[in-house]
Amino acid sequence: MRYRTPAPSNAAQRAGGFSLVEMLIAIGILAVALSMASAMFPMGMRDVMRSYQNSLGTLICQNGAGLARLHLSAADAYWAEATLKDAGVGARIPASDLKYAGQDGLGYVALCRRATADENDFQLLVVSYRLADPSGSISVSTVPGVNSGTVSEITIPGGHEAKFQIGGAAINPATGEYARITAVSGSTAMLEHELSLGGSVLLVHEADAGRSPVLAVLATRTALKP
Amino acid sequence: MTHTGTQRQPNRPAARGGMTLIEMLVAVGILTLIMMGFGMILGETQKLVVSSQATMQSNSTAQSIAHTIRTDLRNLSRAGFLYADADTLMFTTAGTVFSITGGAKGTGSVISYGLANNEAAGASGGILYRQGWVLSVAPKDGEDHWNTVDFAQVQTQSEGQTGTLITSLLNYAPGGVSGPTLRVPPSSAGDLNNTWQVLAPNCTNLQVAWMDASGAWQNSGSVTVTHHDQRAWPRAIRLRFNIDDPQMPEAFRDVEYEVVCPIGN
Repeated sequence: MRYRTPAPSNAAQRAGGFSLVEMLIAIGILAVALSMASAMFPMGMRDVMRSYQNSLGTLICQNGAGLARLHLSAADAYWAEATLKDAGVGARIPASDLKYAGQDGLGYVALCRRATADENDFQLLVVSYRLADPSGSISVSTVPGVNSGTVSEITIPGGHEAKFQIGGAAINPATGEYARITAVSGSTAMLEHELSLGGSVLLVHEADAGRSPVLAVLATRTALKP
Repeated sequence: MTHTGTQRQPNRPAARGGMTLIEMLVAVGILTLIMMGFGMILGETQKLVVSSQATMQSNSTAQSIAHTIRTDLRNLSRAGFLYADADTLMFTTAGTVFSITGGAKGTGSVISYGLANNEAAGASGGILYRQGWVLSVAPKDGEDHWNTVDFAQVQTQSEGQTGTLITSLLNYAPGGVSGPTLRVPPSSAGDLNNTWQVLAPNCTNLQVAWMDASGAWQNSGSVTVTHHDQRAWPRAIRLRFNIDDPQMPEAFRDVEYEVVCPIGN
């Protein structure tokens, strides 16, 4: 009687079960996949959290627009130039009224410019913010030497990198047009949409912060008190 | 008996047949550690979701209140009056208004904001209420109209008459001026009559302030202004209040909000 023993094939070997090494490789792959997936959860949720906070930003902007109209005067020589200026300079708006509900690190910046020469016609941009460090301060800077024309990216001049923060608003000081900064890579800041620039950009930023403190921006045309 | 073909090595079947118990325990242990780590991350994510929802709910309520106040103050009429103290705001609005709870129609109304006690069982905090009366002399059924005077008469009242009217209206705050009360959630049909006044439950620390002619905020005592002296009217009204929902995580409770509304701009 002759028996034929089939030659062992790879399939037959696999059917016999996994070795420890194979199992560890599988677990390792699973661990890598899970860690990649889990890394995305907090990032995504932080963005969701930020969007929820933005609803507070809108409320702050509405308050800020009302207070700016109450405090700013059309007769102020400060508005002689038709470019956006920080209305908080010179206590034109009292410091206490620039805070939201008297809270440190939460408030707004009012930027104003005369929209039509010799008329009581002003453009008002209210930028609400929440500082990462409540004891810190908000800064308004006009950065010269950026690329001009209709741009979707801003070339950051040397020494100004820290002012271009993700989530911040890049504002044309001459027209009041603005776009949110979606990414910063080296000396380039990407914008959420195209923006016309005339060689300079106005930024609202927080020192030593990774992300922009800007919550929301409200733009309006208004008359000021005579 | 002759065997042909490849003979299996005696110890190979054990190696290829699967893992030993120890090997299996090692693999399961490693897998458990990985899953525990993943579970912790999921737990943190869930906390973020809960806090985000709490923030959204709280901000949404505040936005809704701000919208209502701004709309009312946009319709404010200086032909009537405005009264404010540390926790009450009352003023006249002009324009055609209709009763919510009855069939009254008028050419003006009186709106008031304040904080009422919540008498519902287990309730914490107060209720931010908005009461509105249609000013109409035509008697109608309902809880939201004032039958004794219409807006045209308010415009011609003396300061003394307006003061008397304000006192009467303050006394008709839900439950009376000495201790305004509402019940949310309502537990009877009678409670339901007043639910239209509720802007937000779980409110605390309502602070009303008014901006004087110099641009300074005032909140001590009270201010009453009428059509008799237009220059005395406040330039703006500011309401601050806290929303303290007990269902929110502790870190997200008792959030302070502020609504600023210019008058006459």
